[in-house]
Amino acid sequence: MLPAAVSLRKQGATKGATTAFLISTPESGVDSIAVTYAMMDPVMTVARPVSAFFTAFVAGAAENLFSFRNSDPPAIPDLTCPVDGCCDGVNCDPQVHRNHHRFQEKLRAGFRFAVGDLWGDIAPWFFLGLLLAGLITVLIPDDFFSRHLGSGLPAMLLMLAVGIPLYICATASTPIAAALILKGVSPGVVLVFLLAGPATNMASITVLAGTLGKRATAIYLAAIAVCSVLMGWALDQAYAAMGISAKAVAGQAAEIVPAWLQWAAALLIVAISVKPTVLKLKSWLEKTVTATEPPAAATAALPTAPPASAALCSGAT
Amino acid sequence: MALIVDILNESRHLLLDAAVYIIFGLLVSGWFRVFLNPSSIARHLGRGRFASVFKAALIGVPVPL
Repeated sequence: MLPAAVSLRKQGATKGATTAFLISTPESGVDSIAVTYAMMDPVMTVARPVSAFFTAFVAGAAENLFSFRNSDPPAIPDLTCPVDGCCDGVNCDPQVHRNHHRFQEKLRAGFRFAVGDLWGDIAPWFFLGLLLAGLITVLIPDDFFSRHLGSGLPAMLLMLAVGIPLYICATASTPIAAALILKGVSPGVVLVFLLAGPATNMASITVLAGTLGKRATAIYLAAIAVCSVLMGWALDQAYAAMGISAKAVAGQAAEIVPAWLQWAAALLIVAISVKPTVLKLKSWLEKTVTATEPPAAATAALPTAPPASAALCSGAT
Repeated sequence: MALIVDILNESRHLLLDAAVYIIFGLLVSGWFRVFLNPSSIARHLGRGRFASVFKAALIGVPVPL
């Protein structure tokens, strides 16, 4: 995520636009919108992208109130060919490049990107999210959240405290959110988690402070905190006004899909998840092994490794 | 042991619910990236105090991580 923001800034986007993109991109995407529709309900499916847009706009506009200069250099877009990088787009006329790849090649390149890069990053976390959702569903008593912190401002603030330092991508956070809804947590509180979780983490805050500056980082955090709670509160009002129980309508979209198709799609997902998940597990194991090895004389002189941040997604830094 | 089976059953249930939608979302995201013209996006993000922010926020909504 952050490399994208740095490159946007280099491409000439204003500080506010970079901030906005940095918020709405992780908080919402076609994949997480689709998953929200499947696991939750249509209201939440609309609420997530709308809140992401709102939060992003508020943060970016606040940033540009302070930092905007009309003399900013014009944008220099990165025109590198997205299909296979065959040209950089600078010494290559777009009209000519358009004919480099056939429609089918582009379809295939998009498919490869979706299955390889995109799902490769998400898969291990998504399965972790599924397991956590299963844990919540089975282990937490049904009346737990109706008695403790299931709704209201204190619960939302608690979600902020959990969500801001944590990083979990929008798609992987959805099963956890669906499990919380089924346990009776109010949709507004869940929305705060869904907004604050993906948007920020300790590592991104540090890098952001370096790229955009301290003031921009403060605006970014304040906007996320305030807007998330505001949108959460509004969402609870909306459910109440429409007389919908989020718990009752969760997961209904899945019912229209025939069972054989569900199984076929699930098996396909598992099949494309094996490789990235195994690689991820391997890299974790290696990290743990090197971390627990007794320090040799040579390595003892080296500075200690940077502290691992609470990141639940590969794109965190 | 029964507990672990229960947990995995719940996870499997959620996966079955979402699988078709995940595939749909991934494909749209992938094609989005290949077919969208980056020059037309970047051009919109450098101009205007609030217009640039509005467009950046809007473009970020469908774009996945």
